[in-house]
Amino acid sequence: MNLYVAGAAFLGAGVEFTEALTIFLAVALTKGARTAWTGAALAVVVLAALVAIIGYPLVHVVQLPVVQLVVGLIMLLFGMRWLRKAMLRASGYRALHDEEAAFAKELDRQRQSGQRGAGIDGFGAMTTFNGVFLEGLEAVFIVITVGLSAQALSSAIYGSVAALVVIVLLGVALRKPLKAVPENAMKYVVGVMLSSFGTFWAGEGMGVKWWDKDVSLLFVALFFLIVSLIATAVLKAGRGDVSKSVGVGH
Amino acid sequence: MKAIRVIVGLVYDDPWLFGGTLVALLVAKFLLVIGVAGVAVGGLLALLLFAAILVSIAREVRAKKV
Repeated sequence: MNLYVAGAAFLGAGVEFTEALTIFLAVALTKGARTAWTGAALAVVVLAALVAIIGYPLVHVVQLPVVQLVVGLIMLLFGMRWLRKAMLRASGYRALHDEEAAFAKELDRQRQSGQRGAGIDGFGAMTTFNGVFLEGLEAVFIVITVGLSAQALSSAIYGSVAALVVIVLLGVALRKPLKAVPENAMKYVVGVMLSSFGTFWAGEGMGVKWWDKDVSLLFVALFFLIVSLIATAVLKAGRGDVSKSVGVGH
Repeated sequence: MKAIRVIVGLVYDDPWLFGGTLVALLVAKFLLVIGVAGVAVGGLLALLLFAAILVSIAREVRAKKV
């Protein structure tokens, strides 16, 4: 078990599952559990098919340097975007993602779409499908790329399944959106992990010979973490609004 | 449609970040082709990629301050 990979997959998928749960709960409460489960189950089936279509050739057909480059690029695109967004949120230039506000908005949207009927509500099911599919798609990309890059796909799968179990159990137990989940801090950490993995594998795919593989990866991750923390602190100071400087560490 | 937007969004959400990433990778590849040592190129690649993030953040911050 590669704990670094499992941890990255756990955090990355956890953020996505938390957002999907908010939509699922809003639909379940307004349009019934059957409607919510129908949309979610359909999304899971489509995602599973996508994993097979994308994952199989990456694992069995495409040559390793090509896989490294493609996977590295995808990780960079996701990771740098997440890191950038997390830095902006942590420094107060963007509002933190508010699960309660998202939940209230979705509840309102569902209520406006009509009363709850006896059968499955098409609008509600489609909303759950969209939510679970889109958030799940990002989770799938994270699991496949992190897993393949470190040649530890099973560790990435275990990490994401653990995240799914934790989020679902919390959702079932609390029956409300998980606003206490430190989404920005999780996004920050995963952003650093994906960016460093992406740099490493895209470089390797292009022909960079890193000095002692694992040690280099650690240095790259430390570089992204330290420099991003310094940049976030500078941004906070430049903004001059300490009261809104929340996110990392919460 | 939304799924396509998520994937394409990686590019069009922030063209400066995407462009900066591409430039960093192209520069790294060029340096490798002309024979610069791999370790140096790797370090420079990490620097350039982070610079792309900073440029993208600076543009957003400046737009919000104006």
